[in-house]
Amino acid sequence: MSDNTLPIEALARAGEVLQRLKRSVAQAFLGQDRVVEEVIAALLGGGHVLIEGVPGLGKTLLVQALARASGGRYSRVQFTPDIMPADVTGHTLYDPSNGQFTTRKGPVFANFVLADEVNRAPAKTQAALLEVMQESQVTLDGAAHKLDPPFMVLATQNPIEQEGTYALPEAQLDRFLLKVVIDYPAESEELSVLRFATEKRSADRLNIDKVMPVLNPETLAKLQAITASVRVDPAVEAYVLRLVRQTRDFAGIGSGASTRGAIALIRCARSLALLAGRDFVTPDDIKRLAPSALRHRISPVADLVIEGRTADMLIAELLEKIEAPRL
Amino acid sequence: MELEKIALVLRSRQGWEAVDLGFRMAMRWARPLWSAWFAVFLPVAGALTLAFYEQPIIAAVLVWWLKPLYDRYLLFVLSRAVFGATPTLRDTLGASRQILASGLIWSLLTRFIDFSRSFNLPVVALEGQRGPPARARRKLLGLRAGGFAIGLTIVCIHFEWVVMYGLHGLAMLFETDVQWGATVADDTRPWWDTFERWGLIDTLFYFVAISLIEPFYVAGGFALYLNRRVMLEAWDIELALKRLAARYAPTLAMLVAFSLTWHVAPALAQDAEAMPETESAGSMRLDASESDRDKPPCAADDECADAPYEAVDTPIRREAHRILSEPDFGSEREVTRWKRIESDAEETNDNDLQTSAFIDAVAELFRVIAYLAIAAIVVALLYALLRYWLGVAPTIVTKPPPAMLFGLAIDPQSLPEDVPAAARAMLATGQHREAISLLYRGALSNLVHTRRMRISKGATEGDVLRLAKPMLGEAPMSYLTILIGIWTQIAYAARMPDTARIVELCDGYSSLMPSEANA
Repeated sequence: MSDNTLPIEALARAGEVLQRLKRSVAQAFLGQDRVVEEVIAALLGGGHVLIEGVPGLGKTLLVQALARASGGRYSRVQFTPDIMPADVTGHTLYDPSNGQFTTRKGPVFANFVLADEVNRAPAKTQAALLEVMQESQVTLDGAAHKLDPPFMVLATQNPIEQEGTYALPEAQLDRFLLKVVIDYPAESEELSVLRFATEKRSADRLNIDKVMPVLNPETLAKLQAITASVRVDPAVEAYVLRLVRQTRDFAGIGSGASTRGAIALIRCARSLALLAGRDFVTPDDIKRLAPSALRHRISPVADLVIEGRTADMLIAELLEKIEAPRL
Repeated sequence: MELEKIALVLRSRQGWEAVDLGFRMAMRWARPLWSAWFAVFLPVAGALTLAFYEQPIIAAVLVWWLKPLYDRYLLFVLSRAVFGATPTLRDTLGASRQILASGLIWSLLTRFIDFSRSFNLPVVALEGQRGPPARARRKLLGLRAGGFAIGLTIVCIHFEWVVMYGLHGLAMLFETDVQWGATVADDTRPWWDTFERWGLIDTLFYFVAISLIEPFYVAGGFALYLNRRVMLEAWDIELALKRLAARYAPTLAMLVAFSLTWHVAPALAQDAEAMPETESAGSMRLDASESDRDKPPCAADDECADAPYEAVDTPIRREAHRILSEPDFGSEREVTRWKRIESDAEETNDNDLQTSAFIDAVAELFRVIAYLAIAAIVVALLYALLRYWLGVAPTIVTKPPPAMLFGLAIDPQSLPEDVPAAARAMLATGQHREAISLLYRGALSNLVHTRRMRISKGATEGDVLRLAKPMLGEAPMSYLTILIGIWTQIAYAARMPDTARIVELCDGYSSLMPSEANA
């Protein structure tokens, strides 16, 4: 249990800043409040996010808007079957003009990295990226290069096109704090997007002009520190453990979530509590984030997959069955 | 009956072909058929619906039970139309006395579950037979057509339900406000409480379905019956002879007819003497004179060998026995010899006999099931009627609300009568947490026991708020939100609110969470 009690002023200020961040991102990425909240939760939790959604729902826009609102540097890597690890991390090359080796840093040297269609890259390149995600440093020609905090990878994948892709193995999926699913927006939200994207615009360029920077990397680091001290009651911790352990015994789940799954759930729940202006986590935060924190960490058995049951359905069933904390 | 006036091409048909002919007959005489149907059905159905307006399923069951009543009118129209005398609606209604006179009560009481109803109906309604002769007649006719008659019934039942659920589906397309799935999912009533679920609209759709299907059903059964008569009594040959008679010289025709009547068409030999009272059926009878008079009791028809007509002593049967006993047909002699007892068993091992015994056993089983089903329906009907007449309100059997929730006792008996007063008393003794716990328990008890909100064991405080939102008004909802917010802070942040806040909660409890509000 974390007993650190946050000063009320710090809590209020953090809540206010986070609300401004959310509103700022929402200036460009309309609707989809749940997605924005979850991505911010992962950012505060210091983790990476795997975003799944069909093309055209604004995944790139979300990352650009988040990078701009957070005041961080943004880079994008379009993963293709012929991409090499060096294209992601960087490389050293000999410069004949001065007779020295020059290091060219790859796109991962940024605060926010969009790894677009991560499952199109071969396993070697995926592994290189995931290593960077884990270590937050890149080794080029024997020299270790630390990445500037905050460092967040937002990888995307398309759920409908599986031909010519290299599915991320479970061990690598586990490195992502959350797997956020972007679904089609509601009709009213889609109408707003339509108007926003077409009014007085002719080019196809993403418009993030309205997104104002509300943070800088230093503030973000402080917010992450505040998030880490949000109180989690032992009953809530026990609830998380019950949930995660049950995924290992639940009939219909082939492989359950790891301990990292439970850690991810608590880290993100803390962020969500802070976003809601609370300095303590409630079971509702856990329940709210469980699908995103666990869906990529469990595998339904083949029979259920054939029947059309998804990981989300099984998690919903688990949440219904597992007793919430009682005090 | 005047065969030469028959509007059908008489020939021996396969069972389903005959049913198809029946459907064509229904379409051919659709106007008089449906006129008669609606003239009888609508007043009955309307009266029953009005009488059982509050319990429409009873109206539907009674309308179903009275099907033999309307079927007789349909059969009357068809039996006349087939022989070229299509009755008008006035004629049909005018013949009500004769239509209803022949065994209707028995059809409704003892034979109302008959899977060959449309096929057997002419035996009672047209031939006017009752008792053992009627049973024998049904058995004889049903030998080759019974299976098709049962098949026709099953098909028509299914079509009735198809039409009914089709109409339901159509209604659902237009009914956007009703959440059908949610209604079914949330319905905790057991299946045997169909009485409460069945609505007026269901009854209406059922009436439409049977109005559409029943005339086809009766016509199909009647066509099967006619076809069986053609097979047994060679109506087609008789008609051909009559046409020959009309075409050739009367003398020659009579000669041929005389010769063939006795040698070619013995199946007509059912004796009129063996037939029961025929006058009661009057003009409805198909074979009041000629056919019956000429009919032998299944004479040369193999399938009739074991028909119960053996028991009937008729001149023609005696004549047949005399002929069969002549030397040309062999002779009988009595032989006495020793025989092992097992040989009887061997003889009975014959496949046909085994099959027959199996079919008899299955038939017996179905008979028992049918009687049990009848008994169950009668009991259910009586129960429903009794409840209706005694004015007993329908009881909805639901799972009782839990006494414990979230580890807290929420049974109203476990709470003090005046919850806010008890909470204030606790507050006065410094039991702040207990006071809020009591208010929280009271609120949950109100939601679960008074407002019948169902809370699963996986529900969190946020889920409780979400579930309560549609049930509560703005003020109680706001109170509940504050109460649960404070409770959550105590529970998960170990943060106790100040005393003034708890007093506010006590004050707000009775005004914002009255037990009877919105219940």
